[in-house]
Amino acid sequence: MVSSVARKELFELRYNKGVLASIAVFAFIFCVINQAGGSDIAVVLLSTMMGMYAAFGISGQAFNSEKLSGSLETMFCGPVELRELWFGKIVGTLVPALAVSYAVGVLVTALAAVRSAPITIGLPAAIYVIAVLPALVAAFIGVMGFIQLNFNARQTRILSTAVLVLIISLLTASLSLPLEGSLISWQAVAVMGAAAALLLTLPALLVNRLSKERIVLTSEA
Amino acid sequence: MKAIEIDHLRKAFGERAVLDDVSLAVEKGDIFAFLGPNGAGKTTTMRIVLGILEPTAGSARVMGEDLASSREARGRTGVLFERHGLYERLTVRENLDHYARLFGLSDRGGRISEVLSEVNLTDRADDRVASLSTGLKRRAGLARALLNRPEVLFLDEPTSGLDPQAQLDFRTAITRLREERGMTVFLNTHNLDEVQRICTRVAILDKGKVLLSGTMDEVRAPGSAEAEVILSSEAEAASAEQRLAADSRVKGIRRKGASLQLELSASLSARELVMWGFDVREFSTSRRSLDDVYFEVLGKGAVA
Repeated sequence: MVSSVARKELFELRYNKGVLASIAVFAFIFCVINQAGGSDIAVVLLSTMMGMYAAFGISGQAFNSEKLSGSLETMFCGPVELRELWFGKIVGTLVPALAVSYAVGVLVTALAAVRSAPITIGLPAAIYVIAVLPALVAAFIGVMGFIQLNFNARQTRILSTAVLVLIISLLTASLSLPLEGSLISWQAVAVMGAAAALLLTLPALLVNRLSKERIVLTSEA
Repeated sequence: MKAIEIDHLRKAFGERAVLDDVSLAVEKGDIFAFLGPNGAGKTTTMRIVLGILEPTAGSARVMGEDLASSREARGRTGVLFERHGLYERLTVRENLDHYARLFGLSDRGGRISEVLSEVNLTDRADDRVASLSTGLKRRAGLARALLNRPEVLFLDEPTSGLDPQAQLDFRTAITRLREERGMTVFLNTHNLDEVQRICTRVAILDKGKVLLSGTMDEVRAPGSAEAEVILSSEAEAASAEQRLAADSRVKGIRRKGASLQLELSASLSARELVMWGFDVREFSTSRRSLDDVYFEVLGKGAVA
C-alpha cells in the first residue's frame, strides 16, 4: 500500500512542471554561483539544502494540494490507513528530493573541477551523503507534511514561509564559505548520523499526532 | 443485517452541537436520500458513517462494520463527495489505475475499461481530469467510486452544478446500478426532484435532528393531500360538505355544483363516504409531493 501511494506521488510529479522547473532553476543557480570552491563542505551543504528545497516544493503537492482538493478525504474512505498514506507520501517525496540532492552534489563537484579548484570528497563526506542525508531529508519531509496536514491554510502558509526563508538563508550563507580541502570529519559525520537516526523517528511520532478528522476539518477552515 | 445503521449519533465541535441523537436505518438495495438545508448536518453524518469524523456519542455501522476501524469494510464501499477526489494532473485512466491498485484489484485494465463504459466515459479515458467539464469530472468520480464494485455507495450532492442532461444521465446510472446489482445508495442532497424520481427511502434532517424518516410512501402517506369527490347531485354535495366539515382530517372544502374539492391532513377513502350514506359517483386523490412534505416538516420542525 505504501509503495502504491509513493508510486502515485512520483507519477504525478512528472506532470507538475511548475515545481520541477522551480527546483531545476534554483539548483542550477546556486550551483553556478557557489564560491565555496574546493571544499567538500560545499557539496555537503548545497546537496543537503537543495534536497530540502526540493522536498519543500514536492511536499506541497503530496500533502497540501491533496488535502485542499479533497482527494485525501476520498483516500481516507478506501482501504488505506492514514499511517500508510503518510509513509507513502514521505517515500514519494524523498526519492525525487534525493535525486535533486545527488544531482546538485555532482554538479557542484563538476563545476569546481572546471574552475580548476577540484573538490576532494573524503570518505566521511561520502558516508554523510549516502547515509545521513536521506535521513535528514526524510525527517524534514515529515515536518513539512505534518505542518501541511495538521494546520489550516493560513497557518500552513505562515509556517511554510518561515521554513523557506530559513532554507534560502542557509543556502546563501553556504555559498561563501572560504574553505578548501576535505573538511568533513568522522566526528562530524558521527554527530550528524546520531542526529539523523533520532530525526528518523520524527515522522513516526508525528503521524501519531494526526487524525483524519483534524485533516479534513482544517482543509475547510 | 441492515446496510447502514446509525444509532443515537451525536457530534459536537467544542460547545457547538452539530448532530443531536440521529438514528436511522437503511435497508439493503435502498436508494436512501438524506435531505436537509445547508448546515443541517448531512455531510457530518456521512463523514461519521465513513469513519472520517469521530462521533461524540452513538455509533454508525455499514454492513455491520464500523468503517473507521475496518479496512475490509471500507474496501466494499464507494464514495463520491461533492469534490470529486481525482488528481487533476493525471488522466482519468491513470486516476482509476491508482485507485485500482489501492483496492488490490487483479484485472485492473479490464475493470477500468468496464467501469469507464458503465459511466459512458471511454472516449475521454486518456484526457487529463483538469481538461474535463464539471459533468464529466463527476462521471469520472463515479467511475472511481464504482471501481471496487461497492455494496454500498455514498454520494454527497452528486448532481449539484450539473446541467439537466448531466443530472438525468447521473440518475439513470444510479438507478441502473441499483437494479442490476442491488447496490445500496446513501445520497446526501437538496434536490427534491431527484429524490422523488429515484429514491426509495428518505430522511429529513434540520439543525442536527432527524425530523422525518421512512419509505417514500410512508413519508407522503399523510399526504393524500387533496381529493376530489363527485356526488350524484348538488344537494347531495351540500349534505356531504356539512358532514365533512366536522371531520378533523378535512382542512378545507370547496364545493362547485355536485363536486367537492377536499384538502386533507390524513387519508380519507370513498368507502367511508359511501358508508356515511352518500351517493359517490367519482372519487380521486392526489398525493402530496415531497416538496410539500419537506417544507411542511422544516416549517414545523416537528419530530416524527
